[in-house]
Amino acid sequence: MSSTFFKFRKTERLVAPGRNEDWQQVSRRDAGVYTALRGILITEQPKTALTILQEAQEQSDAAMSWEVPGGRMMVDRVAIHRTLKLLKILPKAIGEMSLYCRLSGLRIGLLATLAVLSLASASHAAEPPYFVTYSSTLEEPGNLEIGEKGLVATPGDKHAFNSATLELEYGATAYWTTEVYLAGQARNRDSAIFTGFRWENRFRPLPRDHFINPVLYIEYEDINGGDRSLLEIVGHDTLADLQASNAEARAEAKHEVEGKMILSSDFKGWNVSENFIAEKNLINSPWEFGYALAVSRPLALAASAHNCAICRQNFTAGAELYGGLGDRYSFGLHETSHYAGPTVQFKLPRGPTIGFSPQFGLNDNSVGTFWRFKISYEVQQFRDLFRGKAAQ
Amino acid sequence: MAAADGSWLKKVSQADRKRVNPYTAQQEAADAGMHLFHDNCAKCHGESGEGRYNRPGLRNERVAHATDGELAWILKNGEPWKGMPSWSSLPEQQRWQIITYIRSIQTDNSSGSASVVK
Repeated sequence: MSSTFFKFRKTERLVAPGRNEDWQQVSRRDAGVYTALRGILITEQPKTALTILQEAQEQSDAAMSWEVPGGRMMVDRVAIHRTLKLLKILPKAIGEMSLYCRLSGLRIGLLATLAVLSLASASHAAEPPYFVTYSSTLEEPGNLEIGEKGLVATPGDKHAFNSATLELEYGATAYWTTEVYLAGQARNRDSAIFTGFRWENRFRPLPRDHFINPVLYIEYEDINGGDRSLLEIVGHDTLADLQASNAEARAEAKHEVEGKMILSSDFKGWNVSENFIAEKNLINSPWEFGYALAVSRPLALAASAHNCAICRQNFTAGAELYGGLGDRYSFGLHETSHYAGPTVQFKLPRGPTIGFSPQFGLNDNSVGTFWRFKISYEVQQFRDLFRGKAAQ
Repeated sequence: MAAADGSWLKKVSQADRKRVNPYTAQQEAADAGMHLFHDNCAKCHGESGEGRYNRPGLRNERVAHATDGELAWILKNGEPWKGMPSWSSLPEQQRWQIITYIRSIQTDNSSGSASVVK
């Protein structure tokens, strides 16, 4: 057995001390090992760590181990091999770029994809400029919206994080929109992790437009505690939840169902939306509640006769307010966090939609400021791409 | 599919039916409506309103004989169970501009232009 020792950051400790001699338990934690090794490579001594791993792989011994606070950590050859493979796929991203830059790189890739798409097809998004609040606007049937929602924040005096959420929204019918989110985040001087997926569905039950239009929302989430997308605030979500290291936070599994009652009104160009949120972790947790309110209006109600991009009707401004309402046993505002802020969106005709919002914490349980931004592109009549010309 | 059978016309109230387009026969509104139409409607109804796949065109007798109020009603409410979404999130002014453009292509055979019918 090969034994290699080097400093291991406490915040990246993934395998509980005391289990270090249990081969099977360590082996099953491959994903955690990747993150730990990647963390070592980034934050400690990249070249040294890579050399150590390569040496370990070349040796005939079945495992390597190193000291961690409270014991020794053991990794089997399969884990080392997989980690090396991962590192070879992303050598620059992992070895050289900072955590922030790595997620920024992902965004640049997405932007490039959107730019290519924008050359191929017309686009439009009539959705209000909200980040947390939903309106009654559904995706048009057959359209596919590809988007990315980002959030940067510094929770208290802890490390900043940068969350990126990929959004794929499809209009199944005129009254049903289905959407998948893939989320990840990077924490400064920590690691970058994939935090899980969400699948949501929105239904518009009434066939007519009313002064208040209801939409039913149901979502399943398979995420971990490292999720920082903050697509809603519920229960007693507070600042402290965002301060844990990725290693600690990701150990918490969340299999949640979430329901929302979305109410929305469009009146003289204004949109006013109210969401009431109920969420339950299926792993023996009580129902948690939250709310989101928002209002917005385009800068011009009538469109310009000119085919212009920087026209007032393409800009929408508004404001958002959201927060938690406790849980089933302690409903109310006690130990909850709340945020509010202006929001603005620019819709490039036949191009992407870009949104930005600084959102400010309203009490001591809240993070000081969230910097939210999003970019999305709507591929109109995506399903037509799979139809033959003869059917046209 | 897509409210093409015209059954939605029976659902429009008399008050809605009688609504008047404030932009009737205004060339600027038709031009603005053309841009809005191409951004929002053309992927289903065709670049010049000829229809695409099984989605209805807008150059037909039914649309020609519908009142502005009836067209405003279908734009606002849609016919969700038959594929036509609600466009109530578009400001009302922009919906009227689209209607002005739809009127302009009823008698105009050249695609993409917006000559108003006076």
